[in-house]
Amino acid sequence: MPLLVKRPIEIDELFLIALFTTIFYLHQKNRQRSLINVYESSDLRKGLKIIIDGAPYIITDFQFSKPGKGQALYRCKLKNMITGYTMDRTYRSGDKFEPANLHEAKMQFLYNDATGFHFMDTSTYDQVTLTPEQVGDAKNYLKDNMEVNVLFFNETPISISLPTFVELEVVKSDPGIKGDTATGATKPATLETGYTLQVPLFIEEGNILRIDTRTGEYVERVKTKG
Amino acid sequence: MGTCPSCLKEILIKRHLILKTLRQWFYDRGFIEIQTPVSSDTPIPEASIDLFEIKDEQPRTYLLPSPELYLKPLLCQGLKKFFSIGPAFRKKEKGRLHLPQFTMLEWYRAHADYTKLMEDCQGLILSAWKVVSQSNDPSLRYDNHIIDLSPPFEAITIHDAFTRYAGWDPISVRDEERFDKDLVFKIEPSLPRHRPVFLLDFPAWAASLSRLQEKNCQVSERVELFIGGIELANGFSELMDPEEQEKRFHYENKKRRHLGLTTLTIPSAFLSSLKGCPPSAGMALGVDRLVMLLTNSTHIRQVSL
Repeated sequence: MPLLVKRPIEIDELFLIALFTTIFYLHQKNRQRSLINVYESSDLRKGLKIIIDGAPYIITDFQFSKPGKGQALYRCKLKNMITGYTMDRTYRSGDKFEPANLHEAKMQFLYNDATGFHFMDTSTYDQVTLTPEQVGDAKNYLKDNMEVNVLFFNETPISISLPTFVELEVVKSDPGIKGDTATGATKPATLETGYTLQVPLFIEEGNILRIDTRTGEYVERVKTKG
Repeated sequence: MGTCPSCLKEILIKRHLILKTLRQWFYDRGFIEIQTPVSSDTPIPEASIDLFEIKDEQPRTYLLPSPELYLKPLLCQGLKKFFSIGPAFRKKEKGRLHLPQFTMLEWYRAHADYTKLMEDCQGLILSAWKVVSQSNDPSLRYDNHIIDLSPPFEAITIHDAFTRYAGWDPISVRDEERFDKDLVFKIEPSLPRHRPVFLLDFPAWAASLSRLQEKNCQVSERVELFIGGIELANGFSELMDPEEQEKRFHYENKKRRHLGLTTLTIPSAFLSSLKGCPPSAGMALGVDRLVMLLTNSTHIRQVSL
């Protein structure tokens, strides 16, 4: 290593190093501050999305309290938008919050395989993959080419939301027992997505059913096929 | 605004009856009504109150969070009993019980202390309820509780309430952050709901304008009234020592700086006006909250325009 001169570092060199480090640090800090638009405690309200410990949370319930002559307290119920975990937090005046950068995109469901569920943006042809956990119960209603809303947190897909009603075909259902017309009598039926649910006895294989994706329940028969 | 127009009409009529009764109650006892300005360039420095600044006014002028600044000095002008009903302004306070602009009743008595104020509250509230309910029945329904308004109201000291419901004593341990939190989350929910309750004898540090007890200077002669979970009124025996008051104002300003609020000019005219004042007591009551209580309304917006 012939280029390195072995000698003690001079005091003025040390000073310069310290100076540059400080300038760089302050510059970075300032950049961060100007880039991030910050919420204050008094901005908190129901529906606001903020970042806590790096994860996006939505405020599901909010209450302002202030004891006489005391500091304001901002009580929040928060829901982690990735895990669904909920928690209570109380904030005070002077606390600052980073807004969660979230946006939704309309995407088409392509297919699922061992690597996950694949979706495509129909205008940009961008493709994203979500894990079975992120898709959750929505997997019961996903069929090829179905349009869903994919929610992104900082460009990473975190969840999907479905239309309230979807129409799916019955691929397997044993015929109802004749004469059993008691009101409310049901039987199991399996849909094209593999999802099994209770349906009225008159439903046959090949029928198209309307399903409520909020409850997972049968709503009505849309048409008989075949 | 209320949720339905006809409710608003009924509430406004009841609100009028309440205001009329409050005024009459004071007139009957020899009080006079004072009108105070709603702004000043030397508001009383209080750490916990964010003020609205009036744009382009020089020197910096603020909407007042209470009429205290103008009322208290009148005690030294020889006025012995007086009250005011008017708007008060507190920035960023919005919630079920808070509006940035609300209506405050404030009254003062010379040659009296906070125990007299407690008596006043009992009389005032019961008489307002009798007029609103058009009966002599002292029981009021609020938020699914029947509240018995007949005097005397219950009274619990801060020492007893905190020892009982929060497991510590803020008189001997000074922890302002914990005090606010425990007051809201532990004490208020534990207070009896079927009776009005006075919470009294606050720690000396939690009452910037209040006189301290002679027998125990750790305790201030400050009282708050809670009915049906609503903090309705706050009052105290007035501190009349200009030097001590100035020290406390500097301390409040220090806290304001710490919270990122602008520090305020020490109101020197207010301080010098305290010299030679008789021992007195003053109380403030949230009129909108009283209307909420007496009309069984859950949100303060329902009783205000």
